[in-house]
Amino acid sequence: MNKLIRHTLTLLTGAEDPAVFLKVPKKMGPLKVLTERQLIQMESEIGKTLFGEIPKGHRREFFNLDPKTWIWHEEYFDANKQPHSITTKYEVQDKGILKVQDGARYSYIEGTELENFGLAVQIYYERAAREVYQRDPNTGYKLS
Amino acid sequence: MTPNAFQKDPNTTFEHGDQLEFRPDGRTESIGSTEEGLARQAVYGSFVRNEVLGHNEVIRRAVEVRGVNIEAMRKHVLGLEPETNTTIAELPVDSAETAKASEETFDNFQYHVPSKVEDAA
Repeated sequence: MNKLIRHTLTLLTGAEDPAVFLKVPKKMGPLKVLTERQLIQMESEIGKTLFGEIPKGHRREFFNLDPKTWIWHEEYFDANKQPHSITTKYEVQDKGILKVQDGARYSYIEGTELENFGLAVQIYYERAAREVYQRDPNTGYKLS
Repeated sequence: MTPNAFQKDPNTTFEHGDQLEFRPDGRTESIGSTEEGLARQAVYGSFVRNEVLGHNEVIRRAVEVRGVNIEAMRKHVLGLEPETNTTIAELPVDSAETAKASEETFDNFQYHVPSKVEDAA
């Protein structure tokens, strides 16, 4: 290190070896760069817990794909060890929440199903905001 | 006091003959405490959401707003520029559910605060 710089840093920091102030602690490590897929997976870890206990041998995902699409996916093996999977897509449309399932089945959800879906989304949002993004779900401010 | 000229709108729930009395001499000068104001706003907001919009529409909008906000938080973490959100503009004018937060909320980060009907009224 240049002598002049070292002297200046010593004056500024008061340390005999100012170089220690320039080192990044190893604990911090490099900042981890997350992909959108990873963020969605983190959200889904929350989402899959919102519908009660997952039956043994089942795999469940529930996540927000984009502002207007929510996905619920479930995989399991039946008694004959045959794999099954169900994917349900919920689309936010102007007329309501459209539920689209395999086999081109679709319908606008209402009643208790709509209530439950709205509640699940609310909990998902509040927990994801706090636990994944560290933000207050009501204001969007960073949690301190 | 002169008879009130209020005419019953066939679309309202008022009974025939109901009149709204305007009493400037009897009104309160105080707007009350913050808590009272929030309570009034909550009652008003609840009325607007459930009676005017309809319960299903309230849920639909809440789901939409949360989707918008999650997307915004995601993009913020990813360091992506938030796209101009056309979803909000497509909603009816009085859709305060999706009112955009102030610029101070985030720098260059679109975030929509739900349940703020009263703020936009």
